[in-house]
Amino acid sequence: MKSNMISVSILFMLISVMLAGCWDTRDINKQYLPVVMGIGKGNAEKYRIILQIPDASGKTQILDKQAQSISKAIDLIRTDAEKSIELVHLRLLLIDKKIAQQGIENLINFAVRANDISIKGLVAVVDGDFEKTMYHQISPTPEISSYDYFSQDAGWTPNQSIVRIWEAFQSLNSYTEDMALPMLKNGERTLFTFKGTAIMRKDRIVGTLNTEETLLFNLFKGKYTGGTIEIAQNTSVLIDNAKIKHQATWSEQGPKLYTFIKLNVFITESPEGKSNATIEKELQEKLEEQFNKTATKIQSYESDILSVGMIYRPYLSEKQVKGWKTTWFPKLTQHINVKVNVLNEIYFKENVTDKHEQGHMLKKEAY
Amino acid sequence: MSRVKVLTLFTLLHLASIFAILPERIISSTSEGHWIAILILFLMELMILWIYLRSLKPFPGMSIIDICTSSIGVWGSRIVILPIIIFLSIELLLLMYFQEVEIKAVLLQRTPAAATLLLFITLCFYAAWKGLTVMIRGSIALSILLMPFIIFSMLISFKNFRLSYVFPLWVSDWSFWTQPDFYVCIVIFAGFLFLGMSPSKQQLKFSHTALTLGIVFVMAIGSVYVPLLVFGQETAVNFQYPMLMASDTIDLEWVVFDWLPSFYVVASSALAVLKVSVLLWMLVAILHQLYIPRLGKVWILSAICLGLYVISLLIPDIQALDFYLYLNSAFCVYSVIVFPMILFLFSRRLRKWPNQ
Repeated sequence: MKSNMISVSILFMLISVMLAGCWDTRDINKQYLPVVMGIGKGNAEKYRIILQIPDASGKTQILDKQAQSISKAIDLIRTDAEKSIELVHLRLLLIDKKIAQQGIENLINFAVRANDISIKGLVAVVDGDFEKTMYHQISPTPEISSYDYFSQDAGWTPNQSIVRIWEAFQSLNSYTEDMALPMLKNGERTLFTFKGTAIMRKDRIVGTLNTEETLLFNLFKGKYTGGTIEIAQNTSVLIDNAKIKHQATWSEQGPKLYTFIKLNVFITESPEGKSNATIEKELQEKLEEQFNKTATKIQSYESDILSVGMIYRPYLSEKQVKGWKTTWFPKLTQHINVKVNVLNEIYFKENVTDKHEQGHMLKKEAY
Repeated sequence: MSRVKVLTLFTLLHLASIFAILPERIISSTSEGHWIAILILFLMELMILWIYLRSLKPFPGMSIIDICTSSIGVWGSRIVILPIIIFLSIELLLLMYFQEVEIKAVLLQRTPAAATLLLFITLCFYAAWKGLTVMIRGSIALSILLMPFIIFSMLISFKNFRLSYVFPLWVSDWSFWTQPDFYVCIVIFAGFLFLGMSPSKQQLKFSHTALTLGIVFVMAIGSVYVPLLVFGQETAVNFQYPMLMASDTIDLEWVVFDWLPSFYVVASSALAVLKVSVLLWMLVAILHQLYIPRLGKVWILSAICLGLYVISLLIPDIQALDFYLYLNSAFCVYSVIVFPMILFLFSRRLRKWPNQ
């Protein structure tokens, strides 16, 4: 009996050890959970950190501080905030273009190192008035979050590029790849307006792509679901799927890359009398020209955002991989071939032939 | 104890060290052809496993300590087994501390180390106290609970795989032989030592064990290549926990999976508890049988646990352990490579002159 009592009390003591898991917890109603962090240039200090914190009533609270380092600024925000600030739900990192032009390596390293920030968070550049974008709010609909703007399960379209923190970190370290960050500014009725894509070399912006070029960039990378391409006035097509094949050859003069892109499209708008064959041809010519122009533009910035280096990795030795960005990528000759196949016109038939003739027959009947 | 149960424990013990150290150490020891380094490790283990089982085979019902004492006497075996004792002690400390650091980094950021370590060591104490049979039974339960999670968290990141990162497939300079990190990986062999510690009539067949090792090999390849394919060598080499980071790259909007790494940490902590318990049990068994037979097993166990707890509280930071990690790989090489060979010689001698 006595030994039983002892073992029971030991058991209870052991259970109390389990409380280790609840050590020093903070209740969720005593926490601010920021979703968006803006990193801008301070007036006097190096950084200006703005945190957007949604609350249950659908409004967004905004906290703003400046300091010489990011963590110090967050610490200053913590000091003033009524509740504790937890960055676990941080989903979007908005970086001021001025900062991005000077290099974002330490920002990305900070985000990866901080073990409360999830490396799944998204990174974007604010091209426009940083303060205005960060303080911009639209009439409250509680379920809208700025994160949805990028989510492939919600509001993303191939016109936008997306980069996650871990991908940015990867590109910073990678021998064979650079990153392309999406650029935004505040919208009128929406949270953001998409401005294009920032071409990064290593950790800083060297150039930009506009929205159409971004679509091509995404298409090249295989992200195409739901993209619409406008060929000419009143003619546009919807991409159903795309097959991308690379033919990579390697010689001492430099790498040569032929890319074959086969697009299956639906026609969404077309003026009367334009046959599918014409549309195919027009689209083919137009895309091919644009693609090659974009590729040349990107290459002229010496930034491998198309990840061509990744295609060549199997052919290269480790030493050559290390020299990819400096030696081999500038020597790259690239050509992109586009083939378009019109699947159908959704609800319309092709060749409904000559309305004129039909009219004629009607006339005949009338007689 | 059936063979399946023993082999389950064998698998889980290997997995424990595979998830704790293998990805990080292999990625930092070689930058190309990682599979070659892993294959070499496992071929080495296969060879030693054969020697080990071979030397145990003629003596059913005898443990490695029995074989040692009956061939070179008590004092001789004390000397031969001393490095194993050192290896086990340091290894226990390292395992516990590293696991605690991982738990602290991912799950319980504000909890003081003292509390997590106390819970950890209590669990291990209980398991080691109850003996190998309980641990084996527990390992069955653990494997049913954890294996799906482990495999899930490994495979889920396939969405982010980029096959180009596999290359270069072949090693060009073989410099991993000179890397201390490669030798640290030998610690995964420690998972077979317990086979000689449980005297049983039913002996394991080499073929079955080799097959199990094959499964472990696949998991080992997976654990290294998952982070490698997601991040690439040049990025993955920066990470302390590459597997953990790889499982964190998945963005599933379902709430349960929002924080997938915690699954991984829970699973690997459970495996670490199992491994620490088995090593503790081995240490206690050796100490009790060879060095201090007068003291009861529970007392030895309590003293060791208390010692481990106090020492791990005194460790200032993780860098302080690096020296011991590399030092221990020397003892580890002795325990898992040299010792089985010595045992093999003893066993052959004992077979020739059984009455000596």
